[in-house]
Amino acid sequence: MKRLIDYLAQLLPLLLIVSIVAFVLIDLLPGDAAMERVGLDATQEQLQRAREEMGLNDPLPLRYIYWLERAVQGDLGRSLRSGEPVTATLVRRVPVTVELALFGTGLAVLIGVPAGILAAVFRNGRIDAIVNLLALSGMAVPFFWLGLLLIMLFSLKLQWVPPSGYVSFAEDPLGNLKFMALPSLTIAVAFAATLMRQTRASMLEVLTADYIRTARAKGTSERRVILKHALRNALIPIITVMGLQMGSLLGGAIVTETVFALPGLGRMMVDGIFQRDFPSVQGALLVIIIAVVVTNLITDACYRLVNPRIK
Amino acid sequence: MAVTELHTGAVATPAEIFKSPDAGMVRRVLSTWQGVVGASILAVALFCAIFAPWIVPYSSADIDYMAIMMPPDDAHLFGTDEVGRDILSRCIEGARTSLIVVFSAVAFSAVVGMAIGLVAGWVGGLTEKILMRVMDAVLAFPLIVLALTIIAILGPSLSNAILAIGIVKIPHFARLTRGEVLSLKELDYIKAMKTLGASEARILLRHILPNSIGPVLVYVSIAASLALMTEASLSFLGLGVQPPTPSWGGMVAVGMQNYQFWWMSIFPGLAIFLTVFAFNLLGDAIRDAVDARLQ
Repeated sequence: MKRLIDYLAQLLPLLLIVSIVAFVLIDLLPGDAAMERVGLDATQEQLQRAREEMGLNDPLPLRYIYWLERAVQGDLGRSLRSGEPVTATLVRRVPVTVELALFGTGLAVLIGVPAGILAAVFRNGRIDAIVNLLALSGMAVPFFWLGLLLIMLFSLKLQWVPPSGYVSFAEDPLGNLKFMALPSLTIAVAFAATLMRQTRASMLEVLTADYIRTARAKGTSERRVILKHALRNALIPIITVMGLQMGSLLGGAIVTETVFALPGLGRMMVDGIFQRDFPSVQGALLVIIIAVVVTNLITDACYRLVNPRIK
Repeated sequence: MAVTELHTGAVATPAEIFKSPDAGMVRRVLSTWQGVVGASILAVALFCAIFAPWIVPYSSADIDYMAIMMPPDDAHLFGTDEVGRDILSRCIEGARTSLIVVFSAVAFSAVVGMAIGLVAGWVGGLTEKILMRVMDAVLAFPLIVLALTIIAILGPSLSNAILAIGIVKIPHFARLTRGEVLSLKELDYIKAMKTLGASEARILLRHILPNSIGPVLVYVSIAASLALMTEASLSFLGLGVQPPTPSWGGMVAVGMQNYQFWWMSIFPGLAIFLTVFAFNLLGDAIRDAVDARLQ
């Protein structure tokens, strides 16, 4: 318990610095809360007056504190286009991206971990070479191009699933899964490639350990040695890599959402940039950063709890 | 002279063995299939980028309304696009665009990152803490998200894409350099130079910097692969290189709107895939060569 508190105490400075960097970026974005109030067609004088009233001409540190205060209370301003509170838009959009990330991660684990085990067990053989080549290709294929190739194959040629669009799971569970299938596969491929390489490396390391030799000497079946003794111990670094990949996963989701017209966080950010709707960009940006930082922290904490050798 | 003797007499640490790549390392990289395939693909891309104006079959700006979205044939090996431009020519010129962005962005982040790492590692103390914590915070952002934010601030263009990608990659170089500086700083010959009264600038620029460049060079290939992927993604989203300048990512985006005409997106996408693949292969080969030398 004391360890946990110590740990959290170390994290606070990082969270603080991340929030400052996020604020500075957001502050640099053109457009601000004053523009929100007076509208896009207001004159410079009206804008200046509103800024003065809202404290936007105060020094940066002071503005950071105001912003943090409002953000913590869930007030992220209103969209310059629709006038809707940004928080309300986020509530609708976050589940789409979360679903995409969860499906993507699930598929990646299903593909990457077994492939990595196979490559490690048959190391330097033909299977290893094929898996390795697939992993290298998986890491090199751009999300948007892979998405397009999948649409061409599964939607246009085979007509198994619709090319793009979205319905929520609550509305139509089967339809939702059909819409999510290709996007999930798209973001899963690069992730699976990374997982495969990590699984292979950790398994190879574990397989040379003394206790594996002992297990084999006792006459344990090879299957049991691999799945029970080796994999369990190899899982720790694999889980770490999974957590640390959260950032690239969300980055991939941004591009993938654009290809498949999914109304998630990424589309919110990209559309916001095109429409110069900066409060929306800020909101999406903030949620993505928090998601990444929190995942990294949880992974790190899990890693330390699972592996007592790390202090 | 005394300094050199001290240096050769010192116990070798990884930081010391880890000098910049020499001829032996190049040979070791090119003795693996990864090295050969990676270097060959990149050589083709580089050739296209440098000699684009002389080797393209058509000018990439040549609009031909009589040959709109024609499938690949003898006249147009990769077909034509929505205004009848030759896709092969645009892919070749796209190599130039992409590699300009990649080289400029990686050079920018390497120089700035190394400067930050050098200062942080050498000065230490509070300066180091603040610099490295800021680098950690920047690292917390997904590449493309930070790049998009910078584009949102600056507006989309080729030079802003370079700047955005360059800024995003700074922390990696800063961390690598700082790590090297920290171990070099403890070496006897550096301490001796300090005692002998050499100026800090001289120690840093003549001794620390050249010796810490090895790991940076190893990382360059991986950084280039990530930079290319980010550039392609930005251009695909319409927030990177702006038309009519040909870019692979932008061509895939137009191809997506006309996906019945597969050649419009397949070829530029393949170009991105192969180039990123080549950078990754080369990165693997270089890493293995360095690992072998450390053992």
